[in-house]
Amino acid sequence: MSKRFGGLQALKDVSLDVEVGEIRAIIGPNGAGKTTLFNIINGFLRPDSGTIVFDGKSIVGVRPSEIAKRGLARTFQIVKVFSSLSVLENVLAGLGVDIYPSLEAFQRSPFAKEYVEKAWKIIETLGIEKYAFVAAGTLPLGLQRKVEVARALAVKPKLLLLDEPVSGLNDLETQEMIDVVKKINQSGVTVLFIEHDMHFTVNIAQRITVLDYGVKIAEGTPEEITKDSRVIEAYLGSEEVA
Amino acid sequence: MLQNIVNALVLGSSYVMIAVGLTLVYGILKILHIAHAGIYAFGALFAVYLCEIGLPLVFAVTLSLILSALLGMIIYKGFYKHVLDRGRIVPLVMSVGLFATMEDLYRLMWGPYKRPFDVYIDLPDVMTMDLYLSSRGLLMLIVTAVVIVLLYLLLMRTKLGKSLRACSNDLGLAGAFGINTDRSVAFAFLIGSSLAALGGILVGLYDNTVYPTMGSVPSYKAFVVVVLGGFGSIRGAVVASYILALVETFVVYYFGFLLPRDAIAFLTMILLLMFKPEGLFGKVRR
Amino acid sequence: MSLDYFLTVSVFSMINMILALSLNILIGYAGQVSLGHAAFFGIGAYASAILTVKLGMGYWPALLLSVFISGLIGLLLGLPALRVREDFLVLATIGVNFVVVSIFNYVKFFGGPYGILGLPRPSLFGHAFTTREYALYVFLWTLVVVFLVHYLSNTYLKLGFDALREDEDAAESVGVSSPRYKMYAFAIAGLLAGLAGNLWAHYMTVVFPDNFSFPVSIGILTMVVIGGVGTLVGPLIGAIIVTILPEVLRFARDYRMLIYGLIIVFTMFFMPKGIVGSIKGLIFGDTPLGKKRVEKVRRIAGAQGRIAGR
Repeated sequence: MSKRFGGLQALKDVSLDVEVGEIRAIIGPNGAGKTTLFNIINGFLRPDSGTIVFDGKSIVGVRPSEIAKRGLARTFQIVKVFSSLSVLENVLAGLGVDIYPSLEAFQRSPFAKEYVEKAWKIIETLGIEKYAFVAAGTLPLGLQRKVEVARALAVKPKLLLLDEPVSGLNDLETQEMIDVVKKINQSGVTVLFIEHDMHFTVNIAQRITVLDYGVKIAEGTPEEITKDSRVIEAYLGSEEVA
Repeated sequence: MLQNIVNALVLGSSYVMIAVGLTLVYGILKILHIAHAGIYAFGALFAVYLCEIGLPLVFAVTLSLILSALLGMIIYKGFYKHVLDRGRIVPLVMSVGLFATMEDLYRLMWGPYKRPFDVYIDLPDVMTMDLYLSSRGLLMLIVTAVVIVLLYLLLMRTKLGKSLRACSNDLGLAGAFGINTDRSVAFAFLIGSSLAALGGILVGLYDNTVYPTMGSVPSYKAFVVVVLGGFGSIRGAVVASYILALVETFVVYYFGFLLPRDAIAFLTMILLLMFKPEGLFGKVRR
Repeated sequence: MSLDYFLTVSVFSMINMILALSLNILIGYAGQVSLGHAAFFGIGAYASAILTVKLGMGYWPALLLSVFISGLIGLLLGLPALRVREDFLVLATIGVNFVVVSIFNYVKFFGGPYGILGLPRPSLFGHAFTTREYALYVFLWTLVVVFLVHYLSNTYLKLGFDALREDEDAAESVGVSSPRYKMYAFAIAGLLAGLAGNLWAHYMTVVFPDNFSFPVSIGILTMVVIGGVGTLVGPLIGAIIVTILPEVLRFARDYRMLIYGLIIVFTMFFMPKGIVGSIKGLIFGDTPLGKKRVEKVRRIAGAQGRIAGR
């Protein structure tokens, strides 16, 4: 699996290779272009130049919905749950990823046994059974982030993009998210995430890529990165590393 | 040629008056203030009513402007303000409801008929070889010019104008910087509504007719202008008003388009919304 | 109250039900606020009028063709929705309503302000429908539409619409292509409104441009809003109320728009979920899932739990 970018104003010649099965973190100060990178990968934005190869095929110019269907799911920095739908429906909506583009959408019911069973399993994985029938928008932020992860899992992703999965969460919730992401990764899903929380990042990332002003300034294992002088300069200079 | 340009200027001036309020409100609250059309009609109808019961024009107009401004304020404080947090459909639908209510109230109060705006304007008619501009048209041009200058001074030179512009940029941020946003919004409604009423009065004078539904078409066209000028931009709205008026006038004159001029405006808007939704001069705001 | 009068009010109620369901698919399901729904209604009516009166086609083929044309034009008029975001769409649809009515009004082919007269009533086996039979015919179509919408609201199509309405970006991220689903919504709404137009035109046997003007769109919106946006029963109840209210309040007949307007404003103020939405909220609490569905899911989840437990 490989992705390459280049020449975007927010991102300058960033090239990134994510290995199948790894957990990769992208860190960097605010405005470093991290979310832009995600938006390009999942198709919301088009890179000015460069290529993105996912699962052996180029996905530049492919609709986000089609990219999702090919096995790329994501969460959002500012949570975007389907607020007035129940948590269960949020997950069911993710399970429809293959159905939406075909005429089966006119026939299949999301409440059929097979989908409900799958959805329930995912809900159990995240430990949010208690809230399954509650409108997602009424939940506190920590639970909404879990709902987003559950919905993304329902897409049956090969690659999961998490945009600041623990921002705004307390210590307990962060620990739960660490466990969840590890569990997801063990089931064979490649994870690429953006995070400011170094506790979370160092705990689960196998490799870390550092962006600063749209440029990749370092890449390596957590140990290497925390010792890298350029990273410390760029990062500590502008941001608190907690 | 000259005649066409002058006609277009008069028409454009009427758009300016309504569009300013619409674009102010949209810029700040992101509401399509459809009930604005109701205020436009109210201004004209109420002024005519006051003239008919014997008030001198200047008093009638002043009183009508004050009442219209209050009406705008009531619409904000009494209605929109309470539903702003309910998503975008609720305030919009409410605005449509308010508009329908207002129009029908006018019909019940003042009858469905077209009425003349019979007053004497102490201005000369402009008549030359190839140009005719009635005293009422002249009045429209003069008043609009004055309004545009005053508006510019207000927005650029006063503290109030600065807070209005700040609110228009980012309401939340403006609040965080200690600007009394509620008061600014209310003020936007005051200015916008009195201008709309003034527009109604001037058009009523120019056409020498007022009627309950007179607001519908001009205000939808003012929306065209707001789109054309870039949502929320007053300068854009002013320029776009005249552009639209010129386009309409010349298309009708030279091509005798098979649809009425209003349809041209709507077609323009649909195409514009599709292909250049950020307006002619606007930057994309999302 | 004479039978004919009763039948007329019933026919109007049922046609309004179809219109309200149709608009509800756009607004309540897919979140595409259209304020020009009377245009779709008008296109169905005028298409059938032209096919039968001007081109001498029989009712049945004209029915098929007019509904098809409305769906197609619905699709076409849905095009702005693909580019235009959120409330700009409202403006575009208001514009569409005005343009369509001016075309009816100013293009000779459409009969101008005098409309098109002399539409035939449908006939079966050489027997033209009487008013009573026509009412029954409209009733059958209403049933079909209600069942169709009910069926669709239990499919992934509906969940795709829901996702689109709630958040376009998030919808894309789970595989809902927003252009495709917007087109679906506009096409279905166009088909249904076209059917309503056809039924209305052949009941009245005349069509005028004014029958499809902007205030009519407001009327349809009122039905949806008062009954409950996004519910299935709401628009039906809303349609009945809006149709019957002016009949019951005879003295208030002259105040139709005023009443619509006040109803809209106060519904938005005090119960933005409409009658049905609010009642549901009172009885079942604030759950987005129906009671039946919750029970069904519990059963399935419970069974799954036992299997996992073994």
